[in-house]
Amino acid sequence: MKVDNSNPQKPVVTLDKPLKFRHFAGIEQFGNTKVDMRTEVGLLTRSIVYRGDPETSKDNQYGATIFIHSHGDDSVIARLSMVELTDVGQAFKVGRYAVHFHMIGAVHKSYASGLAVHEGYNRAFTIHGTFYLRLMFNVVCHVKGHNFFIEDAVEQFNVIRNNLVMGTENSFSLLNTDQTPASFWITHPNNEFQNNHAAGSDRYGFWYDL
Amino acid sequence: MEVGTAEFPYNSKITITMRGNVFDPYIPIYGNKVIGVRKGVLDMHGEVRSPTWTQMETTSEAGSSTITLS
Repeated sequence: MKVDNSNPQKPVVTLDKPLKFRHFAGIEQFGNTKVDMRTEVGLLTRSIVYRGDPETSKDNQYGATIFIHSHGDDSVIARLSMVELTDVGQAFKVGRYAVHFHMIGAVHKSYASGLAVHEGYNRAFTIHGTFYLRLMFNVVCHVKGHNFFIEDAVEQFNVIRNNLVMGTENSFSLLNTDQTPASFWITHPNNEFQNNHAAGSDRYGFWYDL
Repeated sequence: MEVGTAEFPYNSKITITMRGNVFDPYIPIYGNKVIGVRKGVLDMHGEVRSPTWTQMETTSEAGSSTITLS
């Protein structure tokens, strides 16, 4: 792959393999409303790679996880930025997700920003009993089950901004609803969702229960 | 656990590989093959890549080998 950056405003990428399909990049106008239909392009590599072993993870659908949990407001801090996670999540196991914030309460100091999560077997980001978490500029690709998942519908004040989710895949080894997964599974309206893109999910892009 | 900080990101390359499978010993609640954090601080900060995603500027047809980004 080569990048011609001679015009930094409009870099041209030469691919290793030709495109199989047409990739549309138009902005459609419907009355006064503009709908941005341009194909999204995400960057999946980072200098830090956190992964399940390449020998067994894929065959067993049993990858690595990050599990943040202790009881009490601000009792634990996780600051993650620019990390690549691959071969992550453990299928058939409820609670074993790539990045899981579990029953903490407020996490004012915690965030995940600019992560790349790809090839995952059991969800990407799960917010469970956790408030004030920030998830921004993350890229998720080819992850099974709900990808951004707000679990119990009590979670509030979380900020989910500028994330890209591509190719959400259905999971037949988790809850029933993960057979019809959503890139963003939103169970409480008092969380901030802004400028997130969902592309090519097996079922839903944004699923709201209001 | 610390791999770089927000102020001084870890700009070299590192791969953290987790091994194990479902029947191996595990910590209750947290499981195995896991970075589990309880009443601690986890910092992981890699080289800043910005932007992390964008959109195409122009349509590329099937069979084309170039894409123009916006």
